[in-house]
Amino acid sequence: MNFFSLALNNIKKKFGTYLIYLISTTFAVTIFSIFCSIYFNPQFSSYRFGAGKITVLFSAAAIAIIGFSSIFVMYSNNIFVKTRKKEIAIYSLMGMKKSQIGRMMFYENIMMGLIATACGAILGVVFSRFFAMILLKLMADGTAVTFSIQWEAVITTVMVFLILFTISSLNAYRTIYRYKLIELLSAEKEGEKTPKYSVVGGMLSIVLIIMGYITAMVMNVNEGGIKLMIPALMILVCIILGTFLLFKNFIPMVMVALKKKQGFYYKTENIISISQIVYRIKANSRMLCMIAITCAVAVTMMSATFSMYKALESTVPYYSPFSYMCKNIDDEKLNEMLEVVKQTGEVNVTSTNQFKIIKVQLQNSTYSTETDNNPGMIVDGYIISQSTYQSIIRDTNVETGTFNNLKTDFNMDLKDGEGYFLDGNVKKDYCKNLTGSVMNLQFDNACAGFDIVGVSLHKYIGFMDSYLRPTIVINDATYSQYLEQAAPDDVVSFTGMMFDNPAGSENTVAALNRIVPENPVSNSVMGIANLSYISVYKSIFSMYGAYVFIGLFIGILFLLASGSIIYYKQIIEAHEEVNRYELLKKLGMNKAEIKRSISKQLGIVFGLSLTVGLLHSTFALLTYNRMMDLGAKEQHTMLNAGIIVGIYILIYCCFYLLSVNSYMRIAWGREK
Amino acid sequence: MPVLKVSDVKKVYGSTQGGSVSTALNGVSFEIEQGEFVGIMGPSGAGKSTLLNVIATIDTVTAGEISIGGQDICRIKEPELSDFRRSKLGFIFQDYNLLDTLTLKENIALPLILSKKSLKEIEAAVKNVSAELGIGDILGKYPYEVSGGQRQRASAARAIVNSPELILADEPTGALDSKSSKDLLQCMQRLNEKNQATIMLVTHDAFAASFCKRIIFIKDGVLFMEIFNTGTRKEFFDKILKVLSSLGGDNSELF
Repeated sequence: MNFFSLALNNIKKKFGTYLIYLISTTFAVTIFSIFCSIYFNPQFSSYRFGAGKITVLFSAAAIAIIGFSSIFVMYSNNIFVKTRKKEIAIYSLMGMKKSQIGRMMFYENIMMGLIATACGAILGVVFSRFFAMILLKLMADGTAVTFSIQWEAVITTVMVFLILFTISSLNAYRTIYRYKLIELLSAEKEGEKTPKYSVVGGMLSIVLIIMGYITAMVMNVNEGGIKLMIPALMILVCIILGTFLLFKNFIPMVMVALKKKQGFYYKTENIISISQIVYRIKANSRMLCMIAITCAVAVTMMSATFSMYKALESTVPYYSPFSYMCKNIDDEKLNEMLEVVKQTGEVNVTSTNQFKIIKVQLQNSTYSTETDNNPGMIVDGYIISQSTYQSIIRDTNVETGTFNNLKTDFNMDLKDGEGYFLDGNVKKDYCKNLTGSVMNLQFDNACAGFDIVGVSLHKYIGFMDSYLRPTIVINDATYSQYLEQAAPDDVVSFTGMMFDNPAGSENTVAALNRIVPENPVSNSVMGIANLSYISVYKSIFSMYGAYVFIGLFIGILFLLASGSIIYYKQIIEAHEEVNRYELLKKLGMNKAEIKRSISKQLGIVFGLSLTVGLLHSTFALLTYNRMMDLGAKEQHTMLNAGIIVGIYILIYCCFYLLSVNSYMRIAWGREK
Repeated sequence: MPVLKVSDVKKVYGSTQGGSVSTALNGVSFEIEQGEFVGIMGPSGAGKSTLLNVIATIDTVTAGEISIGGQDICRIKEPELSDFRRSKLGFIFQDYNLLDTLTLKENIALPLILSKKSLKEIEAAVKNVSAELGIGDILGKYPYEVSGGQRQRASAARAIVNSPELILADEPTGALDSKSSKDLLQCMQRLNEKNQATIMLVTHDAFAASFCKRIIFIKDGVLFMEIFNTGTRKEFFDKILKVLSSLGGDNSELF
């Protein structure tokens, strides 16, 4: 039996303890490996080498994940080595050379590292397929993707973790040299000192956190660049420092105060759990702070990206209100189109709308296009009949609302000489005061004034009119008079179709585009020839889908990370506390009482960090909400965040229950 | 030549951390000859454990010299220190310090395995010591499967398996019931008388100490008194109690 076989023997015999370490490190490797295989996938190479924001984001995510992996591996390794200190001391006392002990620890750690790297790399390859599919779905890239094993990714993962595990193994190797024998021998006996807290620190933590929150609430989010960076950095420093001091000083302060309230303290479970927490708080403070911040990052990331995803989805009708739209289609062609949709068999047509609008010129002393910013100018615009507009509202399921690009409040009967104004601008600056004034309409060298009885920012034809011109809705009688006078060139006729599932209409749209002419015959000044929900959806999500994916990915990563760190730490503590619970058992505490005590104790640890984390993310999201423009604000960031927080708490609860169970199993021990 | 020679040993704690300084040992000198069974006693905080730790090379002295078998242990460095511990010292601790991953047999054999002894030698030595300590039939078990007394006897077996020059025992009976204590102490006495093993026993228990041939009392970090066992164990026990009461230590725990 030499020290190599001793190391092997240790791993075999104490597999249970090693397993936790192995699982947590394997987990870190897997996450890294998944990210790598996405990062190195040739399909996403443009994100890696481009110059856009997504490249920056991608690189930032890569750095975040490397950072996380290293911290996680080092942390697990430190805890792991700590549990071995006494064993090392005994070997040393038995006369094993320091160099031999060092080598034994090194072998042991590097073996575990190799196993973790191998398992993680394999799991990573398996799961990356799954994650890449999600990413592509989010980016709506649609094209068939070949999933091959990315050797670059595997090699990078293996290299990174070989380095990490070599460092951590060297760290284990050094343990015997770093500590005196007497320190190693009494490593277990040595408890954490009773918490020493400073009241100043406790108060400072509250002040810092409040300061961070206030800064977040009042900062000018419309600034860019460095002006945004300074308050953002300040908030970050305030919150992180504040959280650290909170757990180091304020929480122990509260706990000690609770301890003084004897009526509360001297209850079976309270005395155990509170004394336990007070006893452990110092070592826990750093972990709790870390968990709270990871939790805040995870919740904020996931909520922000989730509501961004929702917001993106809801902006699609802004560009393409109909599922499919084209221009100048006669009845024969329309029948052909309907036949094509039927043949493709992908979606069903729920409604078809063929309508016309007439080109006119408009003028009002206060109105201008946003691009020209010249009030009183003559603008190109359209007129549309009341019944046509109503049919569009009906077909495209427009919601009621004022001053919104996706909503309208039109539900009136227009009299002669009255008009409802549909502004082409994005913001309400030029139309908000138009109601009650007169819009001059120039057509065929004749001029007429219309009293504006209502305005809306509704974009009823989306980007079919890429110049975003204004339109006046007038009653059907007046409209038909204009239509009679209009030259063929002045009239644009549209065909809009609604599908029952526009998001799945890819093949249908492709087939339709083949029979609908790309360039319309008429030399219309208006934008593009055809427009579809799916094409807009795809172009939006190919632009922003990666953001959503990376946000969600990092969020989930951080969630799992915080959960597993806290779980890991509790298990280690449980092993250290076995004797204490053995004693309590002898003193007559029954299983249910011990379980209640453990649940309470872990509840405080999990609950505290979760509460603080959620509080942080609430303020972060409120600020994020202010940063989003009008459209996204409609999307209730907080509601979406609520959904995410709900899911988060659920997963977190699973970690909690798992921890309580494992803790209990260790503390109650074998039934004798 | 004495097996152990402690001359003017001082140990001061706390100066490196910059905190308050406390003196645990303030110039202790004594010798232990080959084949002696010496007890170290004293009230709590007298420096018993510190003395044991510095002799055991677990801790370092602030000043003074300690030599074991003529070798100055304060001057040995790694890797000679490991060889020294392996060949010259045997340890018995209050909390056994057995490795949970190894069976009792493997635990006992550990010092021999580390000395790269042949399998035959190891088998013979383990068989020999385990028979002597009455644990021959439980060698295949793991430490958590046997009683405290059995664990402590296994730990004693490990301490003597390589016939060290000096066996250091730190409150070995501290966690044992009186029956197991007596068994263990009688084993140690036998080892001392039959095998001429030199034993230094640190204890606060007068009963345990009464098995020794000589007892050194220390108080406040200095040597206070020495007494010898000249008559029966009962007489020696009474003598120890007298000294303890004169030490002013609270010995009510003994009754």
